[in-house]
Amino acid sequence: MRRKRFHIYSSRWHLISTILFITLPFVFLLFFAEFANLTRAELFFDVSTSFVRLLIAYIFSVGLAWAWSVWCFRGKLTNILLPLFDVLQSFPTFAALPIATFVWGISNFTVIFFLVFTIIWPIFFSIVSSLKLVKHEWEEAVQIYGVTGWDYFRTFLLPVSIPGLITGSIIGLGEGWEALVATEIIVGLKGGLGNFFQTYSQNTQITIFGILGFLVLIFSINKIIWLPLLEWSHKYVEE
Amino acid sequence: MIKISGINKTFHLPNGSRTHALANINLEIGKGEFFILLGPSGCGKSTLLRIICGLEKASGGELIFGESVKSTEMSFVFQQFALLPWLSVYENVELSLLAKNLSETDRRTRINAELERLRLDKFAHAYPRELSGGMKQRVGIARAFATQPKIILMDEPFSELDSFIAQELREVLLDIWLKEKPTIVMVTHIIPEALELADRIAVMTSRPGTIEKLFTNDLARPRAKRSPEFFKFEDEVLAAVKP
Repeated sequence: MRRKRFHIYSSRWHLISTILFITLPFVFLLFFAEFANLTRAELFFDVSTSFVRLLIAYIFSVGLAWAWSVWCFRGKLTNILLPLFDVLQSFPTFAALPIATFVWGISNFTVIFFLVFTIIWPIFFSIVSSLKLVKHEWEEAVQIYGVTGWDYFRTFLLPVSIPGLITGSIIGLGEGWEALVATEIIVGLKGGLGNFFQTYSQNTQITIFGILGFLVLIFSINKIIWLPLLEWSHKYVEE
Repeated sequence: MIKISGINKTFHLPNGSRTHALANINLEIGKGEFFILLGPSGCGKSTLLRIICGLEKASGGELIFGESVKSTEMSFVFQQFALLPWLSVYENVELSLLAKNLSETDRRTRINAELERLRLDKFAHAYPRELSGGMKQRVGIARAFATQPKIILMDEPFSELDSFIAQELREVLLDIWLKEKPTIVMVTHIIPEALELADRIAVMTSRPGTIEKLFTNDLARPRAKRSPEFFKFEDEVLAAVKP
């Protein structure tokens, strides 16, 4: 059975502009390294180290948020757990950073733990919203035809979570970038964008270009990945 | 085939009060019968249908299926189609067969046969958003018949469609029913639709929902909808309906 593909890129121009956005941060980094007399290896190492930390935290956050939201979006637990999580999400995570650093030391684990704690809440609450907004008739159709187990997961549970997952990811990662740099600076971990900004904090030119590069990177990621996915997810549940 | 004895249903409202949706419903629906529950909005006909298929629990009474009908041998056609928007037409029909222990080949054969019968074969890869209301309900009907069910429950399946498409689909439904003779229990509030399709009609009244009168439809098939007998019968049924 040939399956029809969803098209994330609406036209050839869309695809070309996306490729340009992919190359833009790298071009910027090369130019920046040349301009600021930094070694390219140092610059790419800092960017990629931060990126990998954020990626690991994001993967953990998605897994945990999805499992939690499916577990507690309905039933008796909802009335207890959702208000509890609502309080937890407003907890200022940086307040606990000294304790975490004391327990786990200056390590990648500390940074990733804090990133997970920051990213997870928007993803969790967005998935819960998606699941709560599911049309009863869709659920009843699945129930009537006795769809269970893996088929239930792939034909129903995963698809209905996707719009919330994408919206939550955009918000969560936006907060995640901010928390990433701040945590890296506070913890004082070697390598990463936090370390870069701290090292060159006295050099205004490098700091300004660093912030500009940071914006280009985030803008490109949004343009390349999240905006097409967001548009696709709206179409995904359109009847 | 289906024996309903003393079924009643009470809904508990958030403000603490209770609504009696159904009271002492007694019915026997025969094998291969086309049975229609007719009544005004809010008379509990959809609630009764949902109790029959297990989507709602009755507050009291007994529901017995003859010949050990399993829950997987019942299908449901929804008023608003209930197609999963992220699945193609083919995959939506396939949904009803996932719980059946069928080989990939058998499943494909059944789906393709159903798509062809309902003239959906050219739309197998389309998504629900790309279809008209009539086409969506064709998918709903194909999904229901693909399981080769013993009982098909239909909740106002044509009320969301324009009269031309509704008439076309009624003819498609009748054609399939006459060939395969499953038991069909359908809910409607449209009297001519009930007269055109049903072997028997149960007229329901509301608050609480009860069976007001049971009619046997002896009009010869195919039913002549402009005949004096049809109009006379329509008047008799109309007189029994209490809004």
